Amino acid sequence: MNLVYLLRRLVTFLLIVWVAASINFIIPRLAPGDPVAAMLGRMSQQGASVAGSAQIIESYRQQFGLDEPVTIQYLKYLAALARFDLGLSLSNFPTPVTTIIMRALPWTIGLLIIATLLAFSIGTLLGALLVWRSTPAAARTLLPLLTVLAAIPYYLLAIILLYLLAFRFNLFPVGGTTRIGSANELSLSMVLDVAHHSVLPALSIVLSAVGGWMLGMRAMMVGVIGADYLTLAEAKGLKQRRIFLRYALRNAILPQITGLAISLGSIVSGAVLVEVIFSYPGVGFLLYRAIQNADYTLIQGITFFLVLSVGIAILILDLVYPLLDPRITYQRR
Amino acid sequence: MKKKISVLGLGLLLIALLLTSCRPATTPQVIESTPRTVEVTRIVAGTPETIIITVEPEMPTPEPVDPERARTLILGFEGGQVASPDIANPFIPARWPMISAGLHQAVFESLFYLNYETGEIQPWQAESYSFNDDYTELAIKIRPGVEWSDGQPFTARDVAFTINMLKDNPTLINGPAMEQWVEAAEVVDDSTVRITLTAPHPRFVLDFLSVQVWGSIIVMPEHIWKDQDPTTFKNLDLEKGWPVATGPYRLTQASSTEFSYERRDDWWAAKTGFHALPAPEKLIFIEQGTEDRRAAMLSENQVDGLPALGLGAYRVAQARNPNVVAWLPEPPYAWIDPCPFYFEFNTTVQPWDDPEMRWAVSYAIDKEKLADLTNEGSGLTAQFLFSTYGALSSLLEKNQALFEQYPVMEYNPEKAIEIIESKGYTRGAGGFFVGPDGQPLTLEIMGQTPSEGGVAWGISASLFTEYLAAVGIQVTPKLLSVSAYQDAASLGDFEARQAWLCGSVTDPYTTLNAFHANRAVPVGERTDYDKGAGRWVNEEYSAIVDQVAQLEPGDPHIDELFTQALEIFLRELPAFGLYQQVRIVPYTSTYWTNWPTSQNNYIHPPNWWMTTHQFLIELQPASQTASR
Repeated sequence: MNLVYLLRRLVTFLLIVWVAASINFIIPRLAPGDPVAAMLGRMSQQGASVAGSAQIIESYRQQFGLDEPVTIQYLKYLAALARFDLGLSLSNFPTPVTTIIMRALPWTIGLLIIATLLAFSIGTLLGALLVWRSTPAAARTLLPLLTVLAAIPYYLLAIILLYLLAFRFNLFPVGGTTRIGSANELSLSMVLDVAHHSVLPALSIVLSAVGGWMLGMRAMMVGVIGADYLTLAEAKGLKQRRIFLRYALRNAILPQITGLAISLGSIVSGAVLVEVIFSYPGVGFLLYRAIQNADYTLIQGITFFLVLSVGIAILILDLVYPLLDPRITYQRR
Repeated sequence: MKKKISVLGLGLLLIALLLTSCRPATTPQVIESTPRTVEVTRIVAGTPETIIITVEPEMPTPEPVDPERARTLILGFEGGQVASPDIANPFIPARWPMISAGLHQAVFESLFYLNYETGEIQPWQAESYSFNDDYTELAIKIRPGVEWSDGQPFTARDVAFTINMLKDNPTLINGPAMEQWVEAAEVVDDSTVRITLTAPHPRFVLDFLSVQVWGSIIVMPEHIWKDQDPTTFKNLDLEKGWPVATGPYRLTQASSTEFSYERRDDWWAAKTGFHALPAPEKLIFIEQGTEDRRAAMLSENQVDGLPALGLGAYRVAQARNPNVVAWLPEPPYAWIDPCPFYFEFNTTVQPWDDPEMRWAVSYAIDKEKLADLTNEGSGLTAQFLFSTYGALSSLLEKNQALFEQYPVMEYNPEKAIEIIESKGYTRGAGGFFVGPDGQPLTLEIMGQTPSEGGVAWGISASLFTEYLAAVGIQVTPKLLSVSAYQDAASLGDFEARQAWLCGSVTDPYTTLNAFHANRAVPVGERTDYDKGAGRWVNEEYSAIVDQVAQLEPGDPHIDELFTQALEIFLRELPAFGLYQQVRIVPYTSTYWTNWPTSQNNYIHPPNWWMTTHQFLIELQPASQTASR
């Protein structure tokens, strides 16, 4: 790996972050709506009278700098971003954006990392098995049925699972992260409780994602199946299992790894519908609320995290690729 | 392969472990037992004999009530997950939804509480209030013995401090209102505060201090707040015991989806013998989630009450759990929320500046059908922008003659067409009317997106389009997010809109005042979006409203002034009522009883308002085995 390539990638990364951050700045402001009006509006929906709201809104607009020219706001925004200062949330003033995101992030990351990795492993394995000649014919006919689940949106699956497993058969809780009324101390029972509550949300995401990974892997495997080195391996007398894992799967899996990296990068945006259905306090719901409330700083903060995280994931992937597949090199020829 | 299988196997093992560790919810069952008859053959003196025996089934031992659950009251809260569950300052916008997740129901108290069922203002932290002759001075006497949760006495100094703090900070909620109405708030002695008003306001206590709708100004402890910046002070620090308040519960745990409270046995009301300690020792408010989740939790008694439930979901819950109750015992089950829906015109936009054209729109809409379709078949129309509460309903009853003269509830599309044609419109392409200037007759109706405001908004939008198309008006529904909707309403950036009005409850002034000419700021300038925003100006009407403002609620002259105002309003029709906001507020009596219902109507039932406090302290445990 040469230094020039590394530097080029870093510069590209920074460029990507800057462009994305600019888009994140512009788009919320294009949509109609005012953050403070939104907050007061939500309250009046509960019947709370907000007399003199016009005056309150004007004062807050000044306080948040929303009445300044857009270019000034943009430059201030970029400067703050460079210092990693995401500012204060408009709809949750005076709480800082970072505090709000950090509260929700562990739940999102915990749930989605496990769900994504599970879906990836199961999907990839099954996809590879679909094409492998030793797989029994029965399995090869039945497995594609899993792709039916992929066609069902994950939030619909969530409701079905909620109805079946939580409502009709009482196997899992109806939502939330812990049992109602349980104390928040870290202990084994709390961890098990959280795990128990995460099964349904995770399951709905896994079931709907497995199909996609499976099809992708199958396509890659088909390309590898006829390869000469597989014939050689068989001729050498290696066990089927070893050929499957170390010769076939390993060579076919590379594009899947790219998909995985991007998937993992984007989990910080959460899975909003699952979070709504299961009352799971993740970043997805936060972003959804922030958009409803026209909370510019919170939207910018979350999307900045997202951009950063996907950018870093791809950067790491790019740098790690040659390690995964020695044939890949970035030398200029 | 081995690795993958062992990973899978481990996963399955984990899942199995979790399955076994879960405890299915226990529902105390209604036990049915009928005696059975059994044939038995016995040998009597050497001869087999068959007799019939009646067997009483063994009474199964009743399922033990979980003592922890039996002493806990669990309620749902609205508003979704709380992004920042560390704000207990009731004066900043970020207070919501956390404030109605238990804080203003159980921790904070109000000086007075308005009871919708009796129509009376109940003094609580205060003992009484009195106005001077011209309603420019208000004296409030504080009840002796009221104490803060840190032991300090609650005095007039705290009341005066809070009002002055609001007056001096116009970004605080109710700040502008205090700035507008309060000249000064002074301490006369420890138990008396005198508020001098800038203008006569006989409804000052009703409007600001007695939870007319949802909440009121909450008095804060001067000794804690005097050194804080009220615009950024969060007022939450569990270790310090903040928020310091006078209510019977203290906050013990706060997260995005759950808030826990513990009863304070040193509550001032119990100490002074004013009121017994509330029965629930622990209080939990959880994020209520989607309808499915709510129905499931209610059926399983995982919650004791919820802020709202749709009709279908309520039926499901009731079928599964016979202990579920709502305000009414039969359909529509619902309680009437004090914020009826209405249809408003921007009277600065042509041709809707013409009262007759507005009447045409009113004739074109079948309000009964609209009410039913937007409420799962059991809606109630709103004849005027009033909820159907006792005092207001009888006021409308007295004015039936006016409603006959101005039939605002009538569905008469032919009449609508007649009016439009009389204005010189002719039918054009597609059956829509075209004006004498060649411009088509269009109307843009603003509403909220169903995903935020609720399904009813989408239904209304399609119905308006249909009804008005039938009379030749081309409708463009403009469904916006809540924030955009409020903004547009405030700035007058709409042609017509569906809206709701949280106005009068016992006295007609608030609703009448929602259409005062002083709200008619030019389009592009902001006015309060939650009152009339159609920029309607009628000096005669406004003068009458000003007269009502000077009279104390209950004054007999208000009735005749109301009739005069109503006549002008109906004649001009800047807005017309659509349907009541009905809400099923479900409770379950499995663990707690004495819920407010229409048959036990000692107070109104909302559990997301400050008045929840008044029935929280009256609940009784259902089971005798529950520890107190």
